[in-house]
Amino acid sequence: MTAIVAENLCLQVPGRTKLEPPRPVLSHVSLSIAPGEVVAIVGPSGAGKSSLLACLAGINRPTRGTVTLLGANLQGLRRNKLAAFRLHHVALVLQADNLFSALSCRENVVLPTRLRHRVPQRRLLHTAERALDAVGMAWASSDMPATLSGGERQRVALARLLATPAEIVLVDEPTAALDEVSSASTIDLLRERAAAGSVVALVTHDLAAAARADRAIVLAGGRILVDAVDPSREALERWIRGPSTPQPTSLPGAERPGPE
Amino acid sequence: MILLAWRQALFDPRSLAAIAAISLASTLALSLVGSAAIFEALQAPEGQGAFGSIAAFTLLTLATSVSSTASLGVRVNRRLFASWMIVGVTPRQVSQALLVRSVVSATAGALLAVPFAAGLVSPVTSGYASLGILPRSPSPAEALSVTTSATTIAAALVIVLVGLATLPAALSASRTSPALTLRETDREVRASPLVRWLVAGAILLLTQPPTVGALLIGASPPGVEAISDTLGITPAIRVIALASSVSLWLVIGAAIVMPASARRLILLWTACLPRQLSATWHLARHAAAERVSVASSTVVIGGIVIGLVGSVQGAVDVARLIDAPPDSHWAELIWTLGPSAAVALVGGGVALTIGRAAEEHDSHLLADMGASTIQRLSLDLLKVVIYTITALLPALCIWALSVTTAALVAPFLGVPITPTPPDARPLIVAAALITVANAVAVLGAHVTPSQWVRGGRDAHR
Repeated sequence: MTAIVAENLCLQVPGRTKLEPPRPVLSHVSLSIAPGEVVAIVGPSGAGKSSLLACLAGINRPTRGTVTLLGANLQGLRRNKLAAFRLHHVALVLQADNLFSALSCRENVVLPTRLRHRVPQRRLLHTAERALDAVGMAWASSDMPATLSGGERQRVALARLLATPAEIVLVDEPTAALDEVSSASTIDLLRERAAAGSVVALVTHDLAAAARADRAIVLAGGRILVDAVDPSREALERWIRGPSTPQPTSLPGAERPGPE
Repeated sequence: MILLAWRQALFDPRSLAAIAAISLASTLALSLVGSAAIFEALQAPEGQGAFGSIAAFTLLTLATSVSSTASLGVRVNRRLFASWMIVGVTPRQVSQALLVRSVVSATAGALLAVPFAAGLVSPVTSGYASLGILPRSPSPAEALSVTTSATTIAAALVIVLVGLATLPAALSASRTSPALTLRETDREVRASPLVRWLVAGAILLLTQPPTVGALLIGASPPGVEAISDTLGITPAIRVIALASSVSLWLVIGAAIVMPASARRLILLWTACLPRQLSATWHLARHAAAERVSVASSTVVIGGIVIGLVGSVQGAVDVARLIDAPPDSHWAELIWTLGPSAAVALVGGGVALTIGRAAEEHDSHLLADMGASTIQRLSLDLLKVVIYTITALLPALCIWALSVTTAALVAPFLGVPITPTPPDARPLIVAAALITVANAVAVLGAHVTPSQWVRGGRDAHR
């Protein structure tokens, strides 16, 4: 069964004033991702990558089109059902501001589990310590997020993701604030998660990380430019930085080069 | 310079509106108190003394409200100031921008008070007279007519005081360290508790006698006259003592101690409840403890409201003790305290909505995580409960301290003192107002669309 299916997704964001027309962000995006796959969504800034991820997570309601996760059509779910679905089946890490500043790292890691159901405190602590250890942040278990650097906070958010047993893993820029070694180990962790049966979709600007994914979807101007299996870093660079890449502002009627 | 102030105003319009509204209410209150007709209506010298203390109390309420609002605005916008400094704005320009902005807002509010004073006094006083709160004869509209000179002096006083009250916040903004601020998340910098506790303790020790004397009015009415005779305290002195004690409570509780102690106070009393009550309770407890500015603002409103209601009750007690007819003394006190209460509520309420912007982050993050609407609402409502109880706790502590001290001092004076339960009315009024203000802020956060829907992850920052 396909874990994620998006069909003909269109998304517009409202203008800043009532007079300003809505701005198109995604235009007719269709994709499907199977369990066990790691898919990287890449593209220039403003291409609509994070918006696509938000649509897949059910945070953004697309203007048109449907998103189906694990056989459930998100558009058919009411708000509370959608939230409950996300809580039980989706693990999401955003690019920044992932953590609750009032909670320690350990408490941040186990919060989704605690929101789901009552779990004995000892088991929660064990889960948190193990997840933090996996990302090399066990030393910061009782520290507050404000005392950590951006990269460390991102790793704690990743630990939260690891501690959440969700079938769908969506990550926005997991390696943005990380050094090369940490970045590689992050991708390893995501690949392990996929090998365990989850579907992993990550938005990234890091082409080295994207090249380690099973598939790469290149977005430009809100449309899918390329959907390639086992992409090489050079090919990704060529697709993203090539002279023929349409700019976000040229969305309506832009000429789209096909995949290689 | 002006452009910079204007840009700041655009980024933080709620602070501007709050300062303008506080200035408007204060100018009105001072115009009424300063009106010569009031002094004529009072006739008694004790009443004049009481009105003098009320005017001072209104000014202190104004200063505390403006100072609290301005410092909250600085805390919420510290990252903005850091961004300015990164592009070359000097610390001095930042503080000047804040000062100019406050003074402009205060001027606008004070100017608005002129038509209010001229147009509203007559119908409002007529309404009060029809309800029996003010005497029908002489005509209350004539007795309380506001003179131009009184309004002008009040407006000038308000503008100057707003400038002075903004000064500490402006200096604090100018000390922003861009590198540190931009690296930190939205966690608030905590004030140093030791210095604050020392200053507060010294003030409390020095002024405990008038506090006890003032609060005795509510604590043990039968003993008041005996103590007054022994110590030679006149009713006017008691009213002044009451006003000064509640003012002192505000200064100590809100401005000095609470920023440094709100976190510990919240953690302390919430520790009495089971730690693992629920995930949202756990989050609400820690989030409320971290949001020092919101907790402090809530305490400011609580303190002011309790102080005002307590003042009115104290004044009524005094009027009763001196056998004065009600419509000659305390009705006017209520009338003049009304605008002062409005100052506190407007300032505190808007300050809460400013602090609320920081709360939206948690709510949205929880929503992104998949928390249900009930869980999100319960998080916010639990915070409201925590803030409200925290705001009322210092009042209860002060009462307990005063009554205990009175009971200990009484044997030396040879006066029987029976500590009575605290009057619940000020607490109920304060709790209701704080809960309403917070609930409005909660609803505001829930109707605010998610950061994603608004077209960008950082659109709301």
